[in-house]
Amino acid sequence: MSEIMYIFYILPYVAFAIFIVGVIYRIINWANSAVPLKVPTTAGQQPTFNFIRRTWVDKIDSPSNKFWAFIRMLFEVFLFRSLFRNTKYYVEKGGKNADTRWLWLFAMLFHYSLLIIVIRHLRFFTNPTPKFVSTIEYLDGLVGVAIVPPLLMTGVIALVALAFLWGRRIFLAKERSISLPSDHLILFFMAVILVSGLLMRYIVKVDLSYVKMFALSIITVHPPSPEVLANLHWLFLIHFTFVCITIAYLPFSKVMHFAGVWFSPTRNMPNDNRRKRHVNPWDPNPEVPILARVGIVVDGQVFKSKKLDWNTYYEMYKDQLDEIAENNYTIKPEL
Amino acid sequence: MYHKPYVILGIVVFLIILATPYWVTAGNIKYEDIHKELAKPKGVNCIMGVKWMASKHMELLNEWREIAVRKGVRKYKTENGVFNVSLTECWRCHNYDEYCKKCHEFMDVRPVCWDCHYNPGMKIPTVNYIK
Repeated sequence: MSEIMYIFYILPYVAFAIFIVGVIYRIINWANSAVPLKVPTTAGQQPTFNFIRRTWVDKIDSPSNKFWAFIRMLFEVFLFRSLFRNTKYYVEKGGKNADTRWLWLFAMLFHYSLLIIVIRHLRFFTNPTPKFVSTIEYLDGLVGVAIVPPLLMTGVIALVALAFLWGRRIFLAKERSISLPSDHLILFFMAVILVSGLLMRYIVKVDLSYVKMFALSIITVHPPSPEVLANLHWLFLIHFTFVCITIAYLPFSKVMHFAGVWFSPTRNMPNDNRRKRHVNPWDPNPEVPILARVGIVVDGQVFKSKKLDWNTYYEMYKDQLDEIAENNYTIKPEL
Repeated sequence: MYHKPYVILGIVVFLIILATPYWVTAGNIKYEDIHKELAKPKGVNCIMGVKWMASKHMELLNEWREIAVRKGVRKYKTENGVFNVSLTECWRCHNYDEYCKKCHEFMDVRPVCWDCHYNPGMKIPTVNYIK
């Protein structure tokens, strides 16, 4: 029994190895993809005549140089600026766009609560604990001192925000139809981690001295004694296992947006299309401009983006078109 | 690879963030078997079983606070005997500095008890500071 518990000691190392290798692999994979066109999306006035007003908001939303593009990235990463513009189109309301910035609100609450929760967990991984960790926990519990142990607001906020973010994917028809199983999977992992963590703190009390000794043994690479492993609470093991599974799953999941956001061409390019020539990395010196060509050659294969004729189209989608034709639909070119 | 310096900077920042526990403590993380460090209690039996007390002593103290303050109950009977409903009952067996405080500091727990109550480390009860 006691030997098998060492699985839990090996688990975080395996999870972090997958995580680190996976994240670096994906970053390098993204960094290797060319950006053929200049595609910044803008929502502000770009520099022009002096009498056309251009505020600092325009500079962020339509950055004219690298510096302002960097500022725009900071706004995107730390304040989720593009989510702040979130609206939803309603046909039934006469084609009006409704304000859905509550998504931004709950996304902000969730991400920042999670950040503070992760910082608070440093108390298990450091010995002695740095002062700022205690201070953050004290400030976090300032509102909830009425009970012992103090109710930490980030835990509650994260749970409420998660309920909204998941509820949005479950109860709103349009969002439900675009939700993939992987969207629900990561939310499920977060829910299990959050609920088990809150249960451990407030309801099912766990002997934390062994939890901390176990955490220290992981971070100092000092195998724990069988006594420590034997005294770990089952609820802690659920919490811990799900954290490890989630960490190992991150490189394969959409949570990779934490790295991917830095690679979004619509966000990270300055809007200077007209002042600087953007050179397509895989087609640096074209004889004919790309849009004037009959087709684009990639990997020796010609893709006819313009003047696509029926025969080429049929060759490209032969299998699917034949399958449709088998169901007694007429397949013919539109003339 | 395009924009190599930025990408390498990004990977380095990612690794630095992952190594947070090491650099916030300047690499000074000590593995400690806290159960060996704590002073041995004097008595034989604790109020409840040792395992129960280790994880739930605050629940007992919360219950004691309520029955003592609201109902005036000063005696508490368990399977291990009859105990005075008071923190000083704990300190009959446990050394405050070498047992309670040591483990709380190890765990970075800050009990709110001493905002009002007396503890052996203080010269006079906190309440008197306020006067």
